[in-house]
Amino acid sequence: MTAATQAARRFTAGGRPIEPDYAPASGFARQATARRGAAIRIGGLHKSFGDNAVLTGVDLDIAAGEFVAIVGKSGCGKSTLLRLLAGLDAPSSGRIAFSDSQGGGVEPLKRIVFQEPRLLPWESVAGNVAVGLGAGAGADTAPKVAEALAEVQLSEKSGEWPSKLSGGQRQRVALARALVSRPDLLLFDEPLGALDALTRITMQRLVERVWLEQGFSAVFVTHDVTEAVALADRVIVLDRGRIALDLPVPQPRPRQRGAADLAALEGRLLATIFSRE
Amino acid sequence: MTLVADATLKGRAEFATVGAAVSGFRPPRLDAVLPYLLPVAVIALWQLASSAGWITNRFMPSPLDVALAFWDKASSGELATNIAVSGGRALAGLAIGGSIGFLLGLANGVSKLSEQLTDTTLQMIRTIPNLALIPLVILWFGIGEEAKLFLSTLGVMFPIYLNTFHGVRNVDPALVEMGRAYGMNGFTLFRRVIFPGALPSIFVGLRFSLGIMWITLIVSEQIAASSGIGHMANQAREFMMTDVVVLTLVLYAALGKLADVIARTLEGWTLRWHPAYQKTAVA
Repeated sequence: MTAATQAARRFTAGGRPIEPDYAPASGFARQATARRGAAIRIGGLHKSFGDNAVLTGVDLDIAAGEFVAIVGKSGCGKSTLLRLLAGLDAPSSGRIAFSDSQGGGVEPLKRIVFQEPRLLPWESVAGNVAVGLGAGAGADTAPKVAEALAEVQLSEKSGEWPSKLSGGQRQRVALARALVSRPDLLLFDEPLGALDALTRITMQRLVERVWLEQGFSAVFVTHDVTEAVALADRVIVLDRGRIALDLPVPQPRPRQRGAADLAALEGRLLATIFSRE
Repeated sequence: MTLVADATLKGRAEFATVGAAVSGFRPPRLDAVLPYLLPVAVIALWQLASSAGWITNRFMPSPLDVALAFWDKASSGELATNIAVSGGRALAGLAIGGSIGFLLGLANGVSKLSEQLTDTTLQMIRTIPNLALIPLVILWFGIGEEAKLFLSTLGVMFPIYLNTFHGVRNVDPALVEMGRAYGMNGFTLFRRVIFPGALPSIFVGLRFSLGIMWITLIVSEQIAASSGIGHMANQAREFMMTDVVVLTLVLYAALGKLADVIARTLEGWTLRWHPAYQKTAVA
């Protein structure tokens, strides 16, 4: 039994019985990593901006180390959900609880990757990555930054200004900034939406690779169902502020892009997204 | 990295090289000389006109006379003293006015309350030409240093205030949100995100302020002073020494240019991250 399923089981022991009817992806390079991601339990989450109710009762459990993609049409509330998870906004009602992979109730280290890289143009690539260390930046900043840059294969750009990089490279710096502090939870807000199709595939592989290596929990908001199915253990469809579908993607990794079984899952997701018009 | 993105980058680099080759067609030495071609030509023409007797020396000295006046004043030490006095006044006004303007701009840029409390008042004071205050200032402070300091402080303050305010307000909110999401707050957020983001605008304010600083100084020194470049000009006028009067004008031009060059160098160095200030980008 993987740590992820154990964590999922632990949730069901106390609260409402939300038993996942699948086993999260196992095997393939994951057994080497000690699981350390954050588990999340979201209950009755509502968020309104004035009269506009964006989230209308979201219940969702995410196991430690799980990769969950959230898809849905514009305005379905997926970015809002992510911002609530990141702590950038406060929920109107409901709760979000975090625990570590052992079930301990600690505040996890969360990092967010935005749609735009949001690099500080006046800091070098290395300086931008160091931002990710936050107040914890100390004497070992340089080796940590170097390691994170090596992770995204940008070591040679360490001293460059962000303005000298391509769009894909900038987003890789943003990813390194998120990774450098070894977060428990990584939140992605359509991080690849602004990239061209080929750079996007490279970036998807990169995201999958670092997730497999580091074992953080990942919540990945995207409008691209192909991307969601390629990366996630589970895909959530949000529709008008509620969960319309919670679809496990049990396919082993590495996944074959365009494989028939993945295409079938995509079809189901799209059918759900468009069924409620 | 995908092959495609690599190829795009390489293509961009090649394009930049071609661009540099085309614009670099002129020898670079000429680039450095070109801006001074016109002033030199004007001076040559002026000297020619003076020597030929087309210009009466009593009203307009020849460039040679001005150079001789320069030599005369420089060797007596009078020039250095006066430049030091004027420069000191200018810097004091800039330091005080600039600091006040910067702090107010910062406070009003960051805090809505501060803006509501002070911005309207500042805008009203700003519309008064500060030289119109001279009669009042003389009544208040007499004709001592305080009056000059007050005037230049007031003049220098507003461009820096306006541009700092504008700069802080226009810092990309997405970057500020990123900073907060990555645990920055208070002073750290200011130092790493808000201040560097506002810096290009602050420099625009500084360069405006330098111009105003000289104008205020000239006027206040000519009205009431016993030292400084303005005083030198005023004294020369009384004795009809047009060569010295013109010399002071040249000095103001040189000092103004020097201040601008310093500001630009500082700007270029602190904003070297900015694509507009990167040498390769300006092909």
